[in-house]
Amino acid sequence: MTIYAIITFHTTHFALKAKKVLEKNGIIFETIPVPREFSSECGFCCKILWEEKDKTEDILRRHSVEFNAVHRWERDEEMEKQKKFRFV
Amino acid sequence: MSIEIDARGLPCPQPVIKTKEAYAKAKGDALVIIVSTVESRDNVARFLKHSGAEIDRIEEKGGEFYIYTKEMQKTGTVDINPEEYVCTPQQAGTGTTVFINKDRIGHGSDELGNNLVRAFIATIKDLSVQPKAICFMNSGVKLTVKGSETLPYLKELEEKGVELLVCGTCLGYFNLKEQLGAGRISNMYDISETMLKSSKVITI
Repeated sequence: MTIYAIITFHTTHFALKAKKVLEKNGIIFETIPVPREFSSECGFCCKILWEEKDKTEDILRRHSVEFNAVHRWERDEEMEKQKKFRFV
Repeated sequence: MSIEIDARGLPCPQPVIKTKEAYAKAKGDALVIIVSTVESRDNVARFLKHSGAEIDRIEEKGGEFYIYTKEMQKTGTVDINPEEYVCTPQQAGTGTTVFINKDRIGHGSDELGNNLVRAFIATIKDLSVQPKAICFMNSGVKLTVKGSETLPYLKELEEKGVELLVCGTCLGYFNLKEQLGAGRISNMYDISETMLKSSKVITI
């Protein structure tokens, strides 16, 4: 089980700005579509390890990247990999 | 007098069976059989010839076919083997192929488009349904090379059994052949055949 923090933004511009800022600051993250459980709206979010949450929030604030919310997201990646799928 | 047989929308061999039933009691009458597919038209025409009925003319109206016979001289029960009148469906393709022909989705902003295509691939890898293949052409091949942010997701898709076909000509053009990180170098034959053998191709 891995615990992630999902950082959502008010606009896509901030999400893309966050991507650039976090890249420059050496944070390991992924820009992914906001998972369905957090919003049904189309948008990007940043997925980081939960331990990196405070550091990341700090960097974003320092670079004036406004974010909307930070969600806790638990994922069992091994289980995800074994999830059944079918070809269509 | 003419008897109308409306066999529109009926699957094979139903139009032939309905024609056969009408034929059995149509002495002195002409038949008009209406069908909605070419296969049914041909099957009914073949049955009529086999039965000895004379076809006056076949008219097409709005994608439907009207088969007019001349007045029946002789009628009666005709034995047919229904299997002879089964339509052979066209060899249907299977599965979905995704065709990615650039390194972004849509027009307007390349930055946004590039993030969208990566998000698209990151998302489909988690879905419960998977395409059978993804074909990459032109700048789309850039997604498959080392250093591409999309590469880890493509590797996961490949592990799941999704075939990744990467245009070799395109890799060569961008001088990226050595950098291929997922999928296999493919050619126009494989890519076009994969598309044609799919039931659905989604172009990104």
